[in-house]
Amino acid sequence: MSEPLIEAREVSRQFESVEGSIKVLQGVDLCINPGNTISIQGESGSGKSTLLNILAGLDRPDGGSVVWGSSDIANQSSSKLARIRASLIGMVFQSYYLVPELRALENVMLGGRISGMNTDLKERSKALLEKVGLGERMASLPATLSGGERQRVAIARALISEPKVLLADEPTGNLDEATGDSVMGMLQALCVDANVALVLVTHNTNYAARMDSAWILRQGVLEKGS
Amino acid sequence: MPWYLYIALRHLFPQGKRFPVYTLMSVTGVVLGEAVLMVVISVFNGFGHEIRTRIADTYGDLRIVTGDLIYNTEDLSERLKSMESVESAVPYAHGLVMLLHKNKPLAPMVEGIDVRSDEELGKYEEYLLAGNMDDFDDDSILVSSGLADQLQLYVGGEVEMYTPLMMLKLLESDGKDMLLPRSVRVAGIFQTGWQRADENTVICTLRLMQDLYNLGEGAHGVRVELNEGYEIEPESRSISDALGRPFFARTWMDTHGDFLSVVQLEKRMMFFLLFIIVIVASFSIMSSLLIFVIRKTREIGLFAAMGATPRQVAACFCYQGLFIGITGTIFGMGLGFTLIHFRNHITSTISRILGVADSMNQIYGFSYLPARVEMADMIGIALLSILVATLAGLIPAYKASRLDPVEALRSE
Repeated sequence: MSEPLIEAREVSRQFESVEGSIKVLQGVDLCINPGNTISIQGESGSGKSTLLNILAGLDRPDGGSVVWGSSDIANQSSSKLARIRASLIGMVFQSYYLVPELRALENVMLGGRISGMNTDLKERSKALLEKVGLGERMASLPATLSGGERQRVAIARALISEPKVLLADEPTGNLDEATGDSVMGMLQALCVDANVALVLVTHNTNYAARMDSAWILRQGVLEKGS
Repeated sequence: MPWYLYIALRHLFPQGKRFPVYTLMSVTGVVLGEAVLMVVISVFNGFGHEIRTRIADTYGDLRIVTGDLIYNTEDLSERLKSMESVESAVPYAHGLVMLLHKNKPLAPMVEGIDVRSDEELGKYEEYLLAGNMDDFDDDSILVSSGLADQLQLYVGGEVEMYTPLMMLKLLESDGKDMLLPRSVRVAGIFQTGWQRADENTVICTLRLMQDLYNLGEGAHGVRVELNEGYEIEPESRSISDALGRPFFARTWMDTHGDFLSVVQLEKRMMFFLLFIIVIVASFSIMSSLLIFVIRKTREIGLFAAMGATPRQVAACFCYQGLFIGITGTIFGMGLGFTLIHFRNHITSTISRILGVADSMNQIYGFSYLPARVEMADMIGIALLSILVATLAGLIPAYKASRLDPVEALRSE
């Protein structure tokens, strides 16, 4: 069996508030292997996004460890982590986070520019936008795109750097059911095509059921779903 | 192009959208500061250059003296003219006289010039307000505008001239001799724009001066004009060395340098005072960029999520300061050169509106606002403006690089 891309071991995270410390994650173990699709469900505030941020190296756990390949991210500087993240992980958010000053094509290309994958970037970006069905909207600014179109651009932007893992935080959360289904189908197909592991945080049981493995976060504890 | 450079440009100058107000305000601050600095410094350079030219025209670049009378001025002039750096060399004599007109006496400085030199005559012709150089001979004088005003002299009028030598003779004769003044005609009234010369100066021929001061064929020295491109100070030393004792060269800087030093000092003071405009503009850039960092917090989080390092995020905002500085400097130079080009139209329009026409001429002796663009000054102003604008981007850049990506992504 191949080496896991990302492995979380006994990860815990707590936040301080006026009411005392809140334990958001407690002893979370998760292994993401190449090409795997994983869903994480849970109530709002159960720590799903926190777990994704820790897996992406954007946040540091209070206890336990996160290992990318063979290196513990606790031992890496933030600059080194950023460089590794650029080639290892793609992220998709519920609110798309497109750069409003850039056109659809430029937003996609930005992902490649930041990860340093500049070879044939424009052609690859165009091809990816064609794949997500936005061949006609490449020159459009985000403000002129619908929610579904914006999320497609965001997915293309996440995949342009050819990541090994895609972390998607409720990618259909802001979309209606039909558009959500379409975006979800496209996301899954793209990940399968490119052999990209997908970690999907979602409230939608149907989408969760389509993944190789399903997990549920309850009061900071990650449990295997049905 | 690195992504942070690209994003910095697109933040400032987005395509297909209106020009952002914050960019406009930030750039405008630099444009105004740059343009004002350019105009003021160029005008001061112009004043300095004009004054230097006029002093050099009346005094000469150098004066070769011995401390005594020089009788072999022809030989000395020829020796000087044979030097590569020397354009002209003509003898002169100078001193003090008393002019009496309508019972009003004044004691101006007098300078005897060699009328055989066309260059000498040409120079004064340029500054004539009234009269004609053709009428200038051994029985006539040119008087400065200030002197003409005080003694109510006019072209063609007669004026009585007394010399210290006459007074001395009167004293030696124990009052037995009568003091007969020399009556001379006013051939012209001149104004150089150099106040010291315009207040109290008489120009006469060298022959008349030799006669008045009983110099015989002697002169007090030889006035030297240098060719273009020669520095006065080093050249004065090399000419002194070449001539050897008893000759030595004095520059106009030795006698009138204080006046130019004041102009230089004023120029420096104005530079520092007006540079405050650029510094104020830099605070405007800083506050605009800080607000921009807050507005773009989620975007900064996104960059981090996509693999941007804190240093790259900082560079993105630092480059915005740099681009504002460069853009402001380019437009500021354009505005500055335009204002310098049309300065006389602008000042005459303002004078006409305020009803103070010709004030420039009355106060400074210039019928126009002088300006001289010196590349070293312009480059210095441009580089400083760009540097200050870039420095103004450092604090916002540091703040952006220190943002916690998770908090940034969560921000509303």
